[in-house]
Amino acid sequence: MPSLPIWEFDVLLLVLVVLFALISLSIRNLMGAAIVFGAYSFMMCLIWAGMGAVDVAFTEAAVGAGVSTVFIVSTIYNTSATMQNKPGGLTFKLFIGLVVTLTGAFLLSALPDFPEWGDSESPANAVVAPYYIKNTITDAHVPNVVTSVLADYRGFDTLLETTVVFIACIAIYSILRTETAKSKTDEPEEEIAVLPSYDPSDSLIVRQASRFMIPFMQLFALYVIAHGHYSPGGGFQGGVILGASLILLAISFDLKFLLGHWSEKSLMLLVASGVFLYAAVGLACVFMGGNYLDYVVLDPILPGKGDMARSHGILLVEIGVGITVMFSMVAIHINLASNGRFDRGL
Amino acid sequence: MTEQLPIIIILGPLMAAVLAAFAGWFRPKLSHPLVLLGLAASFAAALKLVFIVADGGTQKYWLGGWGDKVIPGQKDPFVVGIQITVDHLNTLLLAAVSGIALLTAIYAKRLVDTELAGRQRYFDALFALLVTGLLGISITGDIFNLYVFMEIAALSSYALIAYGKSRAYMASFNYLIMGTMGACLYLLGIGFIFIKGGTLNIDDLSGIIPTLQADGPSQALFVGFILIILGAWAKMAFFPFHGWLPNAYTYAPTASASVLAPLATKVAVYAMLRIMLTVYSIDYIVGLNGIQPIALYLSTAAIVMGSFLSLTQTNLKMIACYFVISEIGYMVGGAWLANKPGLTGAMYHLVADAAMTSALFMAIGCIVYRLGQAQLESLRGVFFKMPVTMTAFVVTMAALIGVPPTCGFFSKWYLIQGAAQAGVWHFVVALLLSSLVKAIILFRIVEIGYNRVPHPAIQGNPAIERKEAPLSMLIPTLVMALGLIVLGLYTDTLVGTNTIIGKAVSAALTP
Repeated sequence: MPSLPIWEFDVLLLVLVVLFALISLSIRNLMGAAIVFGAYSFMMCLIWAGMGAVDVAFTEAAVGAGVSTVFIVSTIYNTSATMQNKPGGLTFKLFIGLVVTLTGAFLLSALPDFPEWGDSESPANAVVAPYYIKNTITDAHVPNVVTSVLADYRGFDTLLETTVVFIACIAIYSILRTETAKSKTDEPEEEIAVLPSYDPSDSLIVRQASRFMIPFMQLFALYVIAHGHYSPGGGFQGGVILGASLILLAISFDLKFLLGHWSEKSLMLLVASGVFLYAAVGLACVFMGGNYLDYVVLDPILPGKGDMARSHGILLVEIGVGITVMFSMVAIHINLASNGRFDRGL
Repeated sequence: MTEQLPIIIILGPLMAAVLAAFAGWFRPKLSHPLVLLGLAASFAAALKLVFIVADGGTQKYWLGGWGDKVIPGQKDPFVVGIQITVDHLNTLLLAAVSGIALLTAIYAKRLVDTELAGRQRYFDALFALLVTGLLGISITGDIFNLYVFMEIAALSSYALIAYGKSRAYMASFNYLIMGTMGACLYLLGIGFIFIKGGTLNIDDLSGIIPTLQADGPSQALFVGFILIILGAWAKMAFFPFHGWLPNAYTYAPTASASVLAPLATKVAVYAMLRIMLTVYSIDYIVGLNGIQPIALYLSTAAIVMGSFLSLTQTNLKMIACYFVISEIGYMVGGAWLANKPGLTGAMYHLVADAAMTSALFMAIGCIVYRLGQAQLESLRGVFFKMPVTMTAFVVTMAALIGVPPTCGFFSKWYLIQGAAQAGVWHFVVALLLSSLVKAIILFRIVEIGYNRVPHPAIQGNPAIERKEAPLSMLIPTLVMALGLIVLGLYTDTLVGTNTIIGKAVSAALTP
């Protein structure tokens, strides 16, 4: 068995992950559970990084620990932080325990059949993976193999994942932004009294700090998108950070301030335009005589020398991913935080 | 241009959905025609491919051109990107899904305008995205790509169901939990297969998996197989994972239910067939001691339970939902019989049941449109009020019962033959019982709708005003009902030895 570099560290992380998962499940206050859940995501992020999957770790940090915690918190803001239901009886718990134990035992039964940890000869590393590692430079001029697999070799999956984000956004919009929610926008006056006495948007420190941070966040996000060819990152991570910068603006000032800059219509149109850009790049390839998403044929209409076409194609679709993800995050946050009313919220 | 046909099937609804999402903000009237156009392009491509595949065999399409590439250390070339495949197993399903989706889109327009007035900005886009996901599951040749399409179909169907009022939210939420669980199991299963196989391409995996088990069975591949099958069962509402389906499809808007009920479950059955027959093989399934009888008993249970619960319902939509659950039992049972007539029956029933369920939900939708509800008690005199709709309804029920020459008779014939050949008599009994129950329900509806009012043709009895559903709903319903008879009459050209389904079955049976 190949020796693990710092196995004590991995053991600590695994113990902490399980611990955080148990705590987050057992806390009765949902706000506390959400925060612990965010910590759980950070631990997962470290585990991914330890496995060498830095792109996955990056996504986990941005999405898992970052915006999804904000989404849970804004959902709690509009519902309730206390659980209403009572836990089931002993028989129910025993039944669930039995099912979970059996499932776990079934999953673990395959363990002796697995290749060793980090085995370079294991099928996952020996069948198609060597092709990616050997050819990513000659095919696409992209040193970061993850980016070339994500946006080129398996670019169709990424187009569809972007579509999934788009669907999530319009689904939440369709469910929350109803006629009743719209009509409530006109009568917000009486609700001021219900707002908590401590209004975070009044905090000078929070406002000034976020005013200072947001430009740097956005600059970093643009770097993450543009530099995704060479280092961990890309459209998803950069898009989430861009979205998070606007969400921070909405939280530290208020939703009205954000909606003054980005109207409901422009947000929802931009969400669709990212997917459109991605799909249109693919379609352009078909019209130029290649297969769908075969960026090579775009060479005549892209700048640069011939063998850079794939690299530029990847950049274009990453920008598409970034746009959709960024505005989806913002639109989902506004819907959840204002319960579809688009006036005020978290 | 023919080599681009497979991708047009997906791109039609996908591009239409994105454009419809734009149109929703500028010209809401445009979004429905856009979706119709996209679905029509998809249907035309799928139809053309049926003939191409029937003559020329399997059509492969490599996204980004990442087809057969030589890999260091491997003697055979591998597909390093994503492949979409149209072969004998899925070409009919693709045509059926895109065709039924197109007809349903025409049919649903009036329902959407009345049921969802003011909220339909993204309905057309979500509808097209659902169809994109379903077509994608049916066409893809890559097990991970299948998962992504599954997510697209699932997410859009949660939204389409939640468009209904009040109780639809809870129904959609239950479906979300169950659907996510199914997707998680499926994804875990892919992980187990990838650890052993090292690729995600279905064709390449079908070559690799037998070589991995040359020295004896692999536990990791077994666990992966079971996880994927359980995931697919949860997605298709197979017994005992069926709890979410009746409420979800009953409380969903009629327009959503009429596209979801016929297509979503059938496509999940196809995914199971693809994993069973192409990724793994019929020998592998027969070699699994104890799993095959369990699957067959569960199928019998699904049919019996679905049939009996449909008898206890008082809402026509609910009854139809329990029919869907029992029909899933037909197909899963047929697939797990793992013999020639069983597989033929399952594959034929996949297409036939999509058509039957579609016709059934369309007819029910017409009734709901005029009567405002679907309670059995409210159906009094409906045969005099809507004679054309009810004709279509009776034809559909006849197909579900299995009356020749409708398609339902032939699929049931093959399934019973397969069960008898394998000696699985409980499945034969369940199939016959299910027909009996459907006949009882048909007679009950005839009794309420025809007999419980004084016959208006007799002098002195009050005349009942004829009021059919609008033509844009009635014509698709009639086309579907007529299609059931046409499909039945053309059974021979679909299931004979040298036909599409015949070739798919023999490809599955010969390793």
